[in-house]
Amino acid sequence: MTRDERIRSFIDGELTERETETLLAEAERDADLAAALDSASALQSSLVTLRGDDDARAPGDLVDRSVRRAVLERERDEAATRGVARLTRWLVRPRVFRIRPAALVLAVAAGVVLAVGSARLIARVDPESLAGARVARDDERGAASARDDLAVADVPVRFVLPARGARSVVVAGDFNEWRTDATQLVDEDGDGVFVGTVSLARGTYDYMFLVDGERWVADPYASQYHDDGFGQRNAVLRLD
Amino acid sequence: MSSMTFTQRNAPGSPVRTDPVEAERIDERRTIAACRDGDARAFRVLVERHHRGLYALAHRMVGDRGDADDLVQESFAKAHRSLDDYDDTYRFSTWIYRITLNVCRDFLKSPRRRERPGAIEAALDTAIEARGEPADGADVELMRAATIARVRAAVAQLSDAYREVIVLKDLQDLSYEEIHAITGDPVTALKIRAVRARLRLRALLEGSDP
Repeated sequence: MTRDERIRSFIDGELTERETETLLAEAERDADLAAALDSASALQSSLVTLRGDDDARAPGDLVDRSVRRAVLERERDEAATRGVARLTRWLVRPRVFRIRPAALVLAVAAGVVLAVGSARLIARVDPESLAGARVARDDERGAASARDDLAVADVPVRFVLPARGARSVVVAGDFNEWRTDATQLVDEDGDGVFVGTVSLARGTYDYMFLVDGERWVADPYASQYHDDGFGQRNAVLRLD
Repeated sequence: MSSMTFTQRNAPGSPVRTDPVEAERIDERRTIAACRDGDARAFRVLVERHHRGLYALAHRMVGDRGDADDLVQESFAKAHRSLDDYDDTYRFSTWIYRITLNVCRDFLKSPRRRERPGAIEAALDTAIEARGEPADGADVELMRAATIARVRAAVAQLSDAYREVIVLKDLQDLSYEEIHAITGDPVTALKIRAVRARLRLRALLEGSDP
């Protein structure tokens, strides 16, 4: 177990009495460990103080407003559903239309007038009013180009893990804050090799693969590893 | 069967045999069944039971009282509309926490959040004002307020993923198993994230960059 993980276990109350005694005895001999323990305990004490933050206390009328809004929104949804059902019934109801020839001629004439009028209106649209769209598009191009520049600064990293029979493989590490829903690898051709590419800024990252949402696996192709404090080894990626 | 034990009326003088946890689950299921039938009073019971925890969660995630208020209402409205999807083999609190957390995540990514980034700046301003150590003999309450402002500002500076684990574990005081039930993230991943998030928070509070 790494020092950071032992400190976390100590803070979270997961160490046995014996393990706690051993840790504290080590801290008496190791000034760095003692300082880290002090710092972690001080942080925890500050966080406990923050738990009593008055700003995190719910306003007195929140219950009333929440209930009112929830009931209103549900009634609105149900009314909308009823409205759609009524409209559908009305639309599919069979009807008989009787049209007099004179009315038909008038309707066609009105349609022609409307179509010609709309065409003229469209032709008269001020070209300047379209300039905004062009400017916006130029801005978007500028933004895209800025993103491209960033992408050039980043390094595309290809993660590969042979995991035949696995249903899913994700890579979690310092670069995605160890989220297990952020970077999924895919086995596109079904040969059991999961692959994914991520653009990363230069730096050093610890990472691991999580197979089928439950099994942590170190990258077999990594050039460097270190103990992850949970009984396994993190792969270390250096992008200099 | 414990459910029978709970629903039975005990004869006068006979020992009361109720498992409080099971009794609470049964009560919760009845309340939810009444909500599904459109009983607003039953829904009110659920809101009364959970609004404090959810408000604290939302406030700690987004850092603004007005936004937190709105997000809690939105969460309850969503829950009320989708009660039919709720699987009562799980705790209602887990389900409503998950809804609220997702509502907060969506909010943090949304333009309405980006248009109003004032919350974090406001917290930072308060922290900067409170940065000086209170003088000797200063009121204990003042020192407490200074600590709260400083830590709150540092929590606000964390990335969303790190803030989330600090909020759920250290501020909402949930176990890793409860957080796993809410987020679906494996417990080991949550522990790794907690280690990193606390190191980052310590560095922010000590004014250094890890």
